[in-house]
Amino acid sequence: MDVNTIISGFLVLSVAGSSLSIAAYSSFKDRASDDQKLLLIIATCFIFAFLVAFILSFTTLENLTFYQYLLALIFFVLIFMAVLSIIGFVIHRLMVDQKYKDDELKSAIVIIESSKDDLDSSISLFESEKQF
Amino acid sequence: MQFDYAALVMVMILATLVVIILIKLIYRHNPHYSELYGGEIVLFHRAERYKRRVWRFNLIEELKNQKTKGKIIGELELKVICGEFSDGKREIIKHAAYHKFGSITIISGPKVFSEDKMEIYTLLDQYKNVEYLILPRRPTNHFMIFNKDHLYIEKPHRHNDSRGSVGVKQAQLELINKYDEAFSKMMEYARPLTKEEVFQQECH
Repeated sequence: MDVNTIISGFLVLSVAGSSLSIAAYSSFKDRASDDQKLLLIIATCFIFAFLVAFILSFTTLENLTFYQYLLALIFFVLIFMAVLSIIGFVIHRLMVDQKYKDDELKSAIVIIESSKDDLDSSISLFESEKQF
Repeated sequence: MQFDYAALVMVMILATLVVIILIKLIYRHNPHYSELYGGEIVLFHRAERYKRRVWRFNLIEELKNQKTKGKIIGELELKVICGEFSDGKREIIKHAAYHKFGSITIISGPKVFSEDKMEIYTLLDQYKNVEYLILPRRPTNHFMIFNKDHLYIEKPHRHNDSRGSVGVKQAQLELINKYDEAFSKMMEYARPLTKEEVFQQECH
């Protein structure tokens, strides 16, 4: 079987998979959920699969003229950059989600601290009212 | 090159293992933790009414299960300070009473919503382990202490408003003691309410 016949199928499948996972990720309303994280990882798997199929397609190129070779190389570089950007996007989102989680903890601590500080003043208010 | 089916099966098994590990890692229980405050800290946003409710329901059920298994000795306790006996509080307190909490103490502000009077009456009538106390003025700090271990703290708010809150499971001893002491002191300024007195309470 000629490997070229399956490469196009691999490419379409992986691009569709990564796009669908990222679209599903964007449709979530909740931030920093575990489901979103899983979708980002699925998108990364699809993108790497695309990269493998893409490199495979270039290893099968034969008998190219200089200009064909040059244009194919430019195409390869551009697609490679796009794929790396998607991987960068995934990593960035994972980092942002982690930061959001850390900020949540900070906000929770602020609520605990402010409530704790107010306890004494509430009690002293009741105490002073009782005295009068 | 000829395709090797044994290699394909190996790759599939490996991929399955990687996916199982990945899912276990992603969905592992990974709560917020702080050495100073507690083992599991959850922030509830203003609109997350359902999440808040479920968190407290689960905690009550968890405590009841621990008691059934003999991990908790003695009565289960719930201490509540609230502004008013609202819908949300009522559900939690009823859930605790239903799940065999031996002692439930509620300290509330002097005013109630008229529609809640009947609910307070029913609660005091049905459950002898529920104690309801009234403070001379509406408290600003609202919190719940679940069995001297877990805390639920609300952000200060007006009676007709709802704000964010924080749940702390396995709260640090120092933090729990601070709230427990505050609760005991508040009790000194509060007077117990009998079911007969419920209908004489002031309304908002």
